Amino acid sequence: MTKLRMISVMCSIVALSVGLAHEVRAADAAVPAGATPAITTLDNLQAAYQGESNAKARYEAFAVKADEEGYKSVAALFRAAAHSEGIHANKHGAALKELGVASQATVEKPVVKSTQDNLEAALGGETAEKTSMYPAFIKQAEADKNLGAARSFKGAMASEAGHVLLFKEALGNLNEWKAAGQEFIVCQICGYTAKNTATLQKCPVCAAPRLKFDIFK
Amino acid sequence: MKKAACLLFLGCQILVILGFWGWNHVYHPMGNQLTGDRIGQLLAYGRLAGLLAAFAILLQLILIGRGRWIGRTFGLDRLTHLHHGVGFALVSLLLAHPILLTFGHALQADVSPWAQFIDFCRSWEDVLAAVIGLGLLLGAVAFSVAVVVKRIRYEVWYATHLTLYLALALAFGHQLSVGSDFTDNRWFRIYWIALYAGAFGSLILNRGIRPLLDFVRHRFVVARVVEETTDVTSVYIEGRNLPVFPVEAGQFMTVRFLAPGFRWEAHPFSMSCRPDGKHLRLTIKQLGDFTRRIPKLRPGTRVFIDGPHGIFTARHNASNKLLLIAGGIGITPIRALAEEFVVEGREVILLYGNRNKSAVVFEQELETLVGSSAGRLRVVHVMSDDPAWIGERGRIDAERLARLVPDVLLREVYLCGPPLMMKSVRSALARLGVSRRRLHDERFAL
Repeated sequence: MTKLRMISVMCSIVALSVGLAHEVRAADAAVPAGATPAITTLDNLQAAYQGESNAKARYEAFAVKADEEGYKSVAALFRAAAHSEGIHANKHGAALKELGVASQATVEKPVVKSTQDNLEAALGGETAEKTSMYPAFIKQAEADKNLGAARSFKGAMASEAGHVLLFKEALGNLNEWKAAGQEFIVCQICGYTAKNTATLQKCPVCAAPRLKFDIFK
Repeated sequence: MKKAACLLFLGCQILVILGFWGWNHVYHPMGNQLTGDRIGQLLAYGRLAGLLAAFAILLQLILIGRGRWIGRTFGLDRLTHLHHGVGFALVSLLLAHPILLTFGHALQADVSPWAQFIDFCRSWEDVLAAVIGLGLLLGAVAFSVAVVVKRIRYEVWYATHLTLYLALALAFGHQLSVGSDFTDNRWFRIYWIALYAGAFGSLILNRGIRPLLDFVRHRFVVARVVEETTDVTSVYIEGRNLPVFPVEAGQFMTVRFLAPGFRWEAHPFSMSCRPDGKHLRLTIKQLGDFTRRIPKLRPGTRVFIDGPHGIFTARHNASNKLLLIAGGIGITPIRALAEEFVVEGREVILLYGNRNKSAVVFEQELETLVGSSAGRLRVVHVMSDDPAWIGERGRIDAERLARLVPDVLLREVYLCGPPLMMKSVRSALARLGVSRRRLHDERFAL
């Protein structure tokens, strides 16, 4: 009797997990009936994919410029941020795929100025994404019950908050950031970006372990 | 009052754990995970299952830690039975934790659950060790089921149960290295380490340091071994300063004889006489491999004693009239209690059930005790399967109880015997209207 009860409990747990997992995929794939909401989330995903893809290209160009101007640590930060934006673009692309839409982006040639200007431009873009763009996208995706898109937007927003802090710090200490030495980690799973410290053993956003971090220096 | 305080303390710990967990997941960088999407919920509730499983394991250590204060409050037999129940219930939490987290992380990383499980073992610090620990834990639970249904020997079960300490050590690392609740919250981490320190500290104190101090202080040694019946033997133990050894009639102790063939096993046995400050007497029936070797014990063997334990004592009696009921070898604590109550000047009826007359232990001693009790002790033997017996024959049932003890409702009842006999006597007493509060019993069987 006890054995039967234990087997029954085990089956329930597996069934619950499989059921929840299936529900997530089903909810992600569902295009809500009705007029505009589903289309809006789709638009938002495409806009976010476009934005992240361009940000990746822009930061890669900024990193080259920072290297040219001798800002080694700033260059490392831009490379880390570019990698992070690439991960976000992939996440948004996967969410688009779930909706049956291929991801496409028109990557424009970045406008590259001085490193200080580039940092200010990056800070402005990230702040806008963090404070207005992604919160609106998340709200819409949740209203559409598109959980996959909402998660993709939330992950990107959490990372952009980290980018804002790092760009602010670099701008405030531009001379000290000339020397190499600053190291940054980027979580391979969610794109979370932070300074590389020994105490950071796990990604605070997605809980991935340190082995899943890419290091930029 | 003590019980209420213990339960309140336990409830507070659960609330603290829920509080930290709730805080971590409500104020999460990805938003409220408890009301968010299913990935967040799978991860949040998977972590909760892990936290509660670890807490239940620590509770298990307290329950079998043989702490004197908690033992005297609840009774060690009840704590041990609760330990068994919690152990089986733990299985669902132990399984839910890895399953929910595997599915949650697999969805998050967009890989299959199997690929995620392999990734856990390869890339996540200490998780492979925790998986091995989980295997040991589940194995120990399976062996516990087997010992309950008598598929394996007690000794095998005991050895497998010891591997649980290795399992706990293997599982501890991953909690602090990859457990999000602790890596992200310093105060929760400190609290968690304190919980572990408290549980293991209590275990080491009560099962290691205290018995060791008693061993050094009293230097227990086997004085003589006496055959009571063909399969029951009494072991007399002497030692220094025995008058200050705090044992009471009705209590038991876990005993390890330091002799070849005995030293690797410790077993619980009841005191079978009232403590007199000169010796302790354990009366042991040959029920298994270990107990069959007891008659071969030699005087002079040193004895390591963990105890005494139990609340099956005269201290918990509030009546001048008592009914003692023993079945088979359950007579051991009852014999000690009968003597204690007679010395206290109380009026006692002892019903002693056995299969046949040859199984009766302490027949002569009980007669002597009756003779010296000035009429305060009456012993009635009841044989369930002895056609030659001219006294009471059959089971100790409601009809017999009502006939032999007409004032049963005025008495406090002490009951000890085999599980089935105790169950039927308990229900007979309930039918007669004996309040559960007036019934004292001790359950030793697994």
